Amino acid sequence: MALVLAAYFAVLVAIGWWANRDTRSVAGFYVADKKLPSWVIAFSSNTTGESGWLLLGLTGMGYLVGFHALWIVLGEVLGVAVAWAFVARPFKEYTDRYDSITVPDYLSDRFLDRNHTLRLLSAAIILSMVGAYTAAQLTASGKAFSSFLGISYGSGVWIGAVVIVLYTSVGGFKAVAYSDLVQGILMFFSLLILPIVGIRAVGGWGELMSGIREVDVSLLQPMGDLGLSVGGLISALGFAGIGLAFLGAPQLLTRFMSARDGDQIAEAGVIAVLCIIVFDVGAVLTGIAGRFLFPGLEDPETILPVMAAELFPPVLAGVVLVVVLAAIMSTVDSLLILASSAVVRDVIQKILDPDLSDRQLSAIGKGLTVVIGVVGLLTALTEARMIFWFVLFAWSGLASAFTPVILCSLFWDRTTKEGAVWGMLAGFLTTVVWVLVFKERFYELYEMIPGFTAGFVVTVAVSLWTRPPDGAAAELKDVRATLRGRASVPSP
Amino acid sequence: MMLLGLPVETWLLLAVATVPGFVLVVRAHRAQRRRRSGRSADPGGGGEGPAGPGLGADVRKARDERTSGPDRV
Repeated sequence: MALVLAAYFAVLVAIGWWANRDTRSVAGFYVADKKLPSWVIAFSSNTTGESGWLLLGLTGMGYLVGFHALWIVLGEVLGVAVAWAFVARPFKEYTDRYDSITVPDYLSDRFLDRNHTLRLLSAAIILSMVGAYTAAQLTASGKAFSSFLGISYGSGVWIGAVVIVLYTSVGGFKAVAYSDLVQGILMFFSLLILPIVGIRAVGGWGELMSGIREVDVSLLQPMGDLGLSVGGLISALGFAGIGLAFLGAPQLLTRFMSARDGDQIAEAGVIAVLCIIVFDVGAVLTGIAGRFLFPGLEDPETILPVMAAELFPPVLAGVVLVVVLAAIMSTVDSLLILASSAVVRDVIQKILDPDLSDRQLSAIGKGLTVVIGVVGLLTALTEARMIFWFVLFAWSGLASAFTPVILCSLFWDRTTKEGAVWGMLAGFLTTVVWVLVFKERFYELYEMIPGFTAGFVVTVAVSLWTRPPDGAAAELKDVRATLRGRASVPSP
Repeated sequence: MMLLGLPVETWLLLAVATVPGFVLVVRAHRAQRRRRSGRSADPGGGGEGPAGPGLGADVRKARDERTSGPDRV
C-alpha cells in the first residue's frame, strides 16, 4: 500500500517540476497562460468542485438516505451542464477582453471599480472561506491516512499538506490543473468500479434491491423516509442546491478563464457532465451497496474505507486511499492557488505595488501559497473536528457571495457596482447567519438556498436603484454578438 | 409500480438528474461546431478570439478606454 502511495506522490511532484517552467509570469502561475485543453479544464473543474466530500461524504449520504441522495446528483449535473453551456463562454470572452486572470479582476473591470472595493471584498471573502475549506480538507486527509494505514492523524495531515504545497507552489496553476486531470481519472475509474464491486458482493442488482427493501423500504424512494412532506421537499431542495455553486464559485470560474478557446469549452462541457454523472451516481450506489453489506456503521462517512478494507486486497485498498487523497488534494491545490491569486494579483499587484515585475510577483505567489498551506495545516492539526459540514458551509459561502453577482454581470446590463458589492455581502452574510441562527428551525435547509436567494435579490434590487457603468449595455451586446459568431451592429 | 426492483419514480428522478444536463452540453457542443464551420467559411467575419475587421470596433475601443487605467498590467 505504501508503494502505491509513494508512486502517486512521485507523479504529483513530477507534474509540479514539469509545470515549473511556465510559472515565471503572474498569468503563467495563476491561469497557465490561458492555454489549457478541454480534458484538463473539464476534469480540473469537477475534481476541484467535488473534494473529499464526494468519496467520503456522498457515499455516506447514499448509505444514510439511499436513493433520496439522487437529488444531489440532479443539482450537481444540472449545475455543471448549465455552467458549461451558458456561463463559461461569456465569462471567457469578458475575461479575455479585460486580460483578467482572477475573478476579482473581472468584477473590477466589469464595474469600473476604481477604488478597489470589489477587489478587497472579494479577497476578504475568498481568504476567509478558503482558510476554513483548506483546513477541513486537510483534516479529511489526516482521517483518511488514519483509517486506511493506521498512522496517527497528525502525520496524515502533515503528509497531505507537504505534498500539496510542494507541487502547487512549484508548478502553479498548470501543475494544479494537470494533477487534477490525473486525480480526476483515478476518481472516475474508481467510482465506475466501486459500485459494481459492491453490487457483485451483494449478489447482483436484484439481491441488492430486495435486501435494501428489507433493511428500510424508504431507502428506495426518491423522497426518502420524509416522503412528500414539507421536510422532504426542503431536504430535496437543499440537496439540489449544492449544484448552484457550479454556476459561479470563483475556484471553478478560473477553469473557464484558463481554457484555450471556445472550442475547448464546448468539448469540456460534454466531458465534464459525463464525468460528474459517473462521480455522483457511482458514489451514491456505492453507499447504498455498503448499507446492505455493512449495516450499523456508527459513522456512515467511513463506508468507503470499510468497503475497501473488506472487499479489496491490500494493493487495491491502497489505490482507494490514493483516490480519496486525490479528491482531497485536487480541491486543496485549487484553493491555495485561488487564495494566493487573491492576495498577489488583487491586493499586491493592483493596489499596493503595481510596479513589481512579473518575476517578483510570481515569486511572491509561490511563497504565499506555502504560507496559506501552512496556515491550513496548523488549523487542521489543532482542530480535528472540521469535517464535511464545514466543507459544505465554505462551498456555500463562496458560491452565495459570487454566483448571483457573476450571473447578473454576465447576463444583465443593468447590474451596477453597488449592486455587486451589496449582493456579495448579502449572499455571504446570509450564509453565515443562516447556519448560526436559522438552520435548525427550518428543517436544516442547506445555507446555499437562502444565501444564493439573498445575494440575487439584493444584487438586482440595489442595481435597479443605482446607475450601471458607462458602456456596459453596448459591451454586453458586443459580447453576445461575438459569441454568436458574427459582428455586432455598431452602437449609435 | 416497480421496475428492476426500484420504484418507477426513482428511475424518473435518475433520468431527470442525468439526461437533460447531458443533452444541454451536447447541443452546446454542436452549436459551437456550427459556429466554427461558419467562421472558417468567412474568415473575416468575427467570432471568438482576436477582433476581426468591423467587429464592433467602436464598442471594443470604448471598452479599451474604460478598462485602461494606471492599474492595468
